[in-house]
Amino acid sequence: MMIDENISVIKIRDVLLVTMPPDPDDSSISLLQEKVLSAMEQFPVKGVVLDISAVQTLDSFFARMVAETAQMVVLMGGKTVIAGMQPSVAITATQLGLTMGSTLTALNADLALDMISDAF
Amino acid sequence: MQPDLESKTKKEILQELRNYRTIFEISGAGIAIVEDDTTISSVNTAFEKLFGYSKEEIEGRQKWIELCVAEDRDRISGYHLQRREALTLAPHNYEARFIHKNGSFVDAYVTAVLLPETKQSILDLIDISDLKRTEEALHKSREELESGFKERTAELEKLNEALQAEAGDRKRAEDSFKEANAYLENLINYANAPIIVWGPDFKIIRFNRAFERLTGYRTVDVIGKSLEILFPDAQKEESMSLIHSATSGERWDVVEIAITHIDGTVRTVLWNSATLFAEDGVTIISTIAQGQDITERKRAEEIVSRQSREILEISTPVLQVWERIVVAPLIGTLDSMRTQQLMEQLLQRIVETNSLVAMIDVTGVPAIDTQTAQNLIETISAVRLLGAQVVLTGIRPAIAQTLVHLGIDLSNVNTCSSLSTGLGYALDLLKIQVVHKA
Repeated sequence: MMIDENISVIKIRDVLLVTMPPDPDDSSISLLQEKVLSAMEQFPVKGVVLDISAVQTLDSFFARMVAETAQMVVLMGGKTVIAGMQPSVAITATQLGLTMGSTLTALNADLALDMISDAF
Repeated sequence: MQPDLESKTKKEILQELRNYRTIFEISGAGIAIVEDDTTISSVNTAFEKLFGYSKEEIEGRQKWIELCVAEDRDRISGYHLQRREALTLAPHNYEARFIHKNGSFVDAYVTAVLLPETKQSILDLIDISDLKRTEEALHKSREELESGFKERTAELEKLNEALQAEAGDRKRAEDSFKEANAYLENLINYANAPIIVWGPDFKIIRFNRAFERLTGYRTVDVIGKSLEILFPDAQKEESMSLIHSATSGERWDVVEIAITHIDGTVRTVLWNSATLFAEDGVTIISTIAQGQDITERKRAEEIVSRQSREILEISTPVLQVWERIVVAPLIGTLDSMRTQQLMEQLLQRIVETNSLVAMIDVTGVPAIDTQTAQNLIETISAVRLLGAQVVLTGIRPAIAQTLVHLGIDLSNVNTCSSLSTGLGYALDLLKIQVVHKA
């Protein structure tokens, strides 16, 4: 499937690194949730780092799905950090009133990995 | 005839007399014999008919002169006397008007001769009344014609005068028109503003001095050329479409169109236009546009806007005070424009410096209202989305009171009273310890 190639879920040590494509559509975001959760089941990882540094636009569906996925990961015993949000995306998101709930955020994937390691 | 008379016999003479008498009687012309004192002594039947009197009423009773109309009497009695003085003095034939018994006029052509060796005259009258009437009618119609002609002439003269007066008026009007035209011509030519007129085919009709200065073209070089030559290549199409819309009757109030100088420089000109229509209100005669060179103003405006942008940027500096700590000291009122600027700058700096803590210092902000607080909260959540934390510092007592009174909830924002305590808090967050040198 074409959509599969756009989202990569890689396990590095005890972390799942998920990279989002620049302009994700709704179906690929849904697919992301499934892939993340099945990987959580498959590998004993501490947490998930969602790298959205390439994403240029953010809509309410995306924000909700990310917040929901983070909650689901917490339920499965991990934690989620969203990394690398672009300043312009952050501005749009706040102006639209979109929040990621209590999801953790990090400036970049490197710091996100630190945050996950620190938790233990 | 007279010499023969002596030699003829009495019988013959009588016979002749009878003959003459018969001729006298049956003659179609009225014949009368008039005595010296103008008493009519003898008339014929035709004469009776002519005047309506019977022989008995006339002969020996009526005077010839009395049959005439009053105005002819002197003339005719004159002729009567003259004829008796000398035969040649009086005219042989004349026309005269007489009065019929019933009062109507009788016009007659009279031939008068003296009977030889007597004072009697013999008159021969031919009725010319009809002729006369025709003549009169003719005369009258001729007079009418003449008077008509005169009237017509008078009318024509009057008309002519009127025409001349009108021509004079027209001349004056033309003069004043010329004057006005010259005035307008000068007005257009020497106006400070560039003025251009073009026809429905977008060919230049008029081009004033100011336009010459603006473009460097000479009037003679551009008349009849398309408007396109005036625009810089890049904007030709756009400008022409604007002009099309102006010509189709839409009036521009103010439109900015760039005009290119012959040397290649481009001037920004503010235009307004008006289209002149023919009397039918549809056909376009020409379009006139007047411009105002705003290149300098435009440049000044650009400078001002750039400077104000710079000032805005300077007014919201974002400084790095420690590794992974940035500070945004805010001074002055926070409007939405500045908040936007602050947010952009702050997020940018956070990403650039890889900072984890952003301190927003509001010591210099005179007051915080709902709007300002809302703007700050937005900024704080945007920073959080990036993965950094915000420490709001410099909350003075007055501001703390206002925030509480307004019911603004900042409970999930780290707040400190001063910048220095905020810095301590930020260092704590980053697990950095600052120690005195031994």
